Amino acid sequence: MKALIYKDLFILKQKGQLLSLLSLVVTSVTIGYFFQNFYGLALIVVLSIPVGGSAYLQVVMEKEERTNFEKAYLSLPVTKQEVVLARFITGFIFLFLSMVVAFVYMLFFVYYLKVVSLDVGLMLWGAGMVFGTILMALNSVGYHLLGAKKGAFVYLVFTGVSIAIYLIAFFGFDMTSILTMKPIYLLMIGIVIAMLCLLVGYFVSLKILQRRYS
Amino acid sequence: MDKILEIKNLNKGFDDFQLKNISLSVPTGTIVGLIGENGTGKSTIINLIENLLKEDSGEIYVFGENMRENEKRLKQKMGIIYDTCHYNEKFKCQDIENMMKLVYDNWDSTLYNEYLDKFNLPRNKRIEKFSKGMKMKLCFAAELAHHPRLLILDEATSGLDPIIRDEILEILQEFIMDENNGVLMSSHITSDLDKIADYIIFIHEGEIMFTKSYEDIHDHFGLIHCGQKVFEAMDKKDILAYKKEDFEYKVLVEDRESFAKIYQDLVIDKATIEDVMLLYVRGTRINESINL
Repeated sequence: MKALIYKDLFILKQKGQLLSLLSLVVTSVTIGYFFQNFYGLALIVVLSIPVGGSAYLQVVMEKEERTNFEKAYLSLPVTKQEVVLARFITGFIFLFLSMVVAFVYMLFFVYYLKVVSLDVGLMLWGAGMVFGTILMALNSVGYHLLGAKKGAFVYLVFTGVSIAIYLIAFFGFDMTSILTMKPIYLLMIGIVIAMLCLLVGYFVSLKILQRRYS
Repeated sequence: MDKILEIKNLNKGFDDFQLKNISLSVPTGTIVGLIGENGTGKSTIINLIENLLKEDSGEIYVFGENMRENEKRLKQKMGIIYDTCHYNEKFKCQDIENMMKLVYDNWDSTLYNEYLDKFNLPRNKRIEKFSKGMKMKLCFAAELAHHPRLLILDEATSGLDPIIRDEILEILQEFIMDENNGVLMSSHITSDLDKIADYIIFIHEGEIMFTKSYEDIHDHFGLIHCGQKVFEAMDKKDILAYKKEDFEYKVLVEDRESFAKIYQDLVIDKATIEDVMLLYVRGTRINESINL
């Protein structure tokens, strides 16, 4: 399985992916400059970076489809379970790297701009991590079912839904009061949902892969 | 002779194609050629061996062990090369080594580098800059460097120029010098198999038409070019297949020597694998199955 993770992470070394991470930072800084408030922080830490960070699987699978690499490594001494698990692990690694950027961004808002307290900042960051994990798990099913190109539409649909949720949640309600009321409770529910999504996403993706090669 | 690969009564159905009751084996120290026109099921058999497809029924044994029950362990001793190089185009030779040594317990860096030198493959270039021949040689280097005992080639020589094909055939001959190794080679380039195959398995429309040793085909099968009158005078039970062309009949016979004794005036050439395949597929078969 280490070999599968290696070949997935190899893509990170490619120019396009470094640019993509860099563009994430530049976009965050630009948005941060114009929205130096709670909603601006939430937009980046809870929405933009988790959405971008959960997209790595699409990049990996698109590159594999170009050379039909999947066929080659399924001929290696690896199981299909390991193939799907490796995809989830590399997807998670990229999400985590993206969330490191989000973390630095959050600290900037907490200590330099002093827009929110550290508690609220951490809560938002945790929510972003949970949200990114859920997105990654759901998108994985889309990519395994439809392939990288058509699966990208699933990704766009989830992104659209995410934006809608962001708009409703942050502009329709007083999210600050909700977050300060029961932050741990909310985060725990989020983590449970994320874990469930990961499990369901893994098994559904595995089933799709097994059916494709049957 | 031990069987390095054995397939028993393998069946696989698709909407428009059926692989029917395939049984074959690869003895140790041999190269077995799988021939047949495109779409007859050669790659399906290989995909079934590799568990890229699931059989409807039948069993696959590698090194005497059930492939489905011990797939991961058995694949440690198997190598497969397809008709194209499937690695990430941005990989360099070193990246392939980095990946493969994480997969194979027996990965041999020294051997891999020896092959890279032997094939004159540049280490600092990405695969996307390689020619098709270079890519295929890289695949061979990567697959041979983990000391497989069974090598499976799925049209691995197709699309390559004769010089590179010849180089690859040499590698296979070297590989088979070790009597513990075996090769299953699917190809529609029959001239390659003429050079190296010990056994030929001919598949047509999802069924094995015959399994013969190369010597058997080479020593016994005959091809006759004759006119209509001569053809009509022939006893049809001596003929395997024939094809009527504009100015002649091509006739395939299984026992060249016996036939020559009866028809002493006829010139009977040795039939190549291609002759056998062409007459079987495009000609009219008189005896439906060749004695195995």
